[in-house]
Amino acid sequence: MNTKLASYQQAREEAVAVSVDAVKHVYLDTVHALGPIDLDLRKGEFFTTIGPSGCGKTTLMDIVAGLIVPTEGEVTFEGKQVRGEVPEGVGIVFQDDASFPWLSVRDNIAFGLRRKGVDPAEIKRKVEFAIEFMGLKGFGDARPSQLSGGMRQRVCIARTFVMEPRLILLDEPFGALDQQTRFLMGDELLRLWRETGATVLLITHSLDEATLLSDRIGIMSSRPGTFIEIVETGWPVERDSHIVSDPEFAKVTTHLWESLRDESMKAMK
Amino acid sequence: MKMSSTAIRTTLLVSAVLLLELLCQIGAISPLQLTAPSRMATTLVELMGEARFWDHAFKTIRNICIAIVLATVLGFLIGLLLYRVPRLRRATEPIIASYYALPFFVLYPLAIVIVGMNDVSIIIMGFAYALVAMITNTLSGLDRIPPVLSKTGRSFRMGRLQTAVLIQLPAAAPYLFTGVKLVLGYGMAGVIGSEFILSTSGIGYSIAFAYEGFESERMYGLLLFVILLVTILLTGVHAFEKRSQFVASASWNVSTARKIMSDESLKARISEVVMVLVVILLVWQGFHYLVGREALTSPLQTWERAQVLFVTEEFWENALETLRALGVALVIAIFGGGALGMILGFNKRAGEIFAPMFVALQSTPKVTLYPVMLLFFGLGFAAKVAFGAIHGIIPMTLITYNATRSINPTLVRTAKGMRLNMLQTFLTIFVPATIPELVTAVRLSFSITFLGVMIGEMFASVRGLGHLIMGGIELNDVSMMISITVLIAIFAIGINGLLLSLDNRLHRR
Repeated sequence: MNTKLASYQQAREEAVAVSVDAVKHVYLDTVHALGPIDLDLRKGEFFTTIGPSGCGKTTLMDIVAGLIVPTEGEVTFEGKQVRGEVPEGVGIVFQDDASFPWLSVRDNIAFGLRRKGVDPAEIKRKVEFAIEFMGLKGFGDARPSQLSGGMRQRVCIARTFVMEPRLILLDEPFGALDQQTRFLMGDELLRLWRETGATVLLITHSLDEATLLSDRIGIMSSRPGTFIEIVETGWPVERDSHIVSDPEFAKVTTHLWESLRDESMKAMK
Repeated sequence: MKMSSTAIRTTLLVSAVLLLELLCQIGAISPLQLTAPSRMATTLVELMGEARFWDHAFKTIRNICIAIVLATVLGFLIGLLLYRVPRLRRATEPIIASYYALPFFVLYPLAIVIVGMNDVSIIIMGFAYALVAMITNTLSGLDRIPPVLSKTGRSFRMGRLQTAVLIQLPAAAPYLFTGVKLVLGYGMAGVIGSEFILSTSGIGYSIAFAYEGFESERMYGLLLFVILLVTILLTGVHAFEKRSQFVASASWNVSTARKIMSDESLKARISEVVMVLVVILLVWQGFHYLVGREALTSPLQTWERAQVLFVTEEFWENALETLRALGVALVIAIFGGGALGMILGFNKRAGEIFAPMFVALQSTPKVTLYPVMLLFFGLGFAAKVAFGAIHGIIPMTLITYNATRSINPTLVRTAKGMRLNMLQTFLTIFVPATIPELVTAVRLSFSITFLGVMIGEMFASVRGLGHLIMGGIELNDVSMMISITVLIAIFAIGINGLLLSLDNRLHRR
């Protein structure tokens, strides 16, 4: 029985990439921003968090990333505790433009690989592949200032993905883009996700984006944010923006809105 | 075909030179006031054949280089320290903001006593004048590093040093380059200005010697050399900046070194100010012990002298004269610069053509214009007002220009949508939208105009506080010199502190 329990526990740990356990965060001893929250992210799943403004989505992501130490509770990544430092194997894409304006597209993408001491020939191969994959061909020598906002964000995504992270955290990466570009970038993101097999935690405001991209969607309450529901979309792994015409897409999106409406109203008051 | 802005600017400059040449040739401008440009060039060529000229030139260039390297390195390090210790920064901010209002030439006797009457004292002057420009630009650069870039460094598991070197430094680089360019301008002004006023060698001295000997052509030839020198040095920095890839998105920047601080208790602020005052007094007393009464009177001796000096009628006559000159110069600088900045800001084409000229003027050591001012205005009230106004009008124009250009276009469209007329748009949209930047501009213009007036009084006037300081230098009346300088410093820091707090309040909106 004990052996069975141990092997069950081991199998569970292997299947779980990130475990958020009773995490709570209070800013400056006064603003209760988040939690308590419990969440397990399965290995290789695409999990999206949605919620009203100010509900603590970004705080949750920063805690999972190790950028913030939670007031209470614990986060583990691959069984190891995350606390105040970004663990090895984690990549982050931020909402704001984080491309380095003083570096070319190629050097931006190679930035992390060079810090890691990867062989130059390998860096070149990976960077050229990323440039091609992300639709940046012909812009390798361009500066971020010569690119559109969408292209700059693609550079940041490529810079994160070439590191082959096992956990990718995306904080509203398409927040500044128009709807069409968001869908196209979503397709690229899904391709990358399938290619790498990484676990993804995405934060977004967009219900369409959440429905299109996710295996599971966590709906958060207004501040202090907790998960009020977790929705399984049931999409196949091989999916892209064509599913927006699927009647199920509208059903899921409508359900998200119905669950979120009251919380959003509360957040506005 | 539409001409490019650069082509128009070049054409205008060439036309202005040709017009000047013509006016000089036909005698409309007296050769005693201004030499024809062609004559300036030929005189410079003749001068370049003299060994004596190169002795002076090499000395000046060497002094400038040492001063600017020292100011750049130390300015950067001090800026970094202030950035890392916000309490120290908050306490010293009004002093840093008022720095360029202080008549720094009074430091010269102190420098001579400490290091002797040689090139080192000239280098100290250039260094002291340029230092704060680098500090303020370092702070501006560090303040403006987007937090997301530092977060990115953490996401790549980079240490503090790696993040600082590979992310924060390159991100701040455009401002650091602006700092270097300003250091160059101030360093040149400090070195050449000190030579001009107080030395017996160097290009500055040669200019003063030619001016005093009524050798107008020689003087203008030397001024042309200074202008060429500053152009070459600035072009060099600019080329390096372009090659190094850290080019600022804005083509110019007048650093404000302003950072919005969170409100702290009045008690904490007062204690910080008191601490800074105590440190200043201790350093002052320490220097006094080090160099003796002949170079620097102690705080107590200065206070005793001030009590005697400040009750005399003569002192108040001179103080009022300075205030009058400062008032007139400020009106010209603020309203003139504000109007010019708005005109250039509203008219895109005019801005493209003329704004780079103001940028170039901003970097040119104004000291080169002093003899010209003297020839045109003579010794007296007009000259010192002109000195003050030419200093203050340029930053005022540039900041107003930038503020006008960066108004959110949606606000303008909103005004159109509300069918506001031009005057209504100006009063209800443009003025409130630009007022925080205009206050910054007024604050900077005040400091720099004040310095201009003081320099004007020191070297082109027989009245005013600057003149009294100069008298102190000549008669070696150190206590008078220092007491007036301290009074000026208190006045400048007081006004700057008020403007700074208004500035911070408006920028916090």
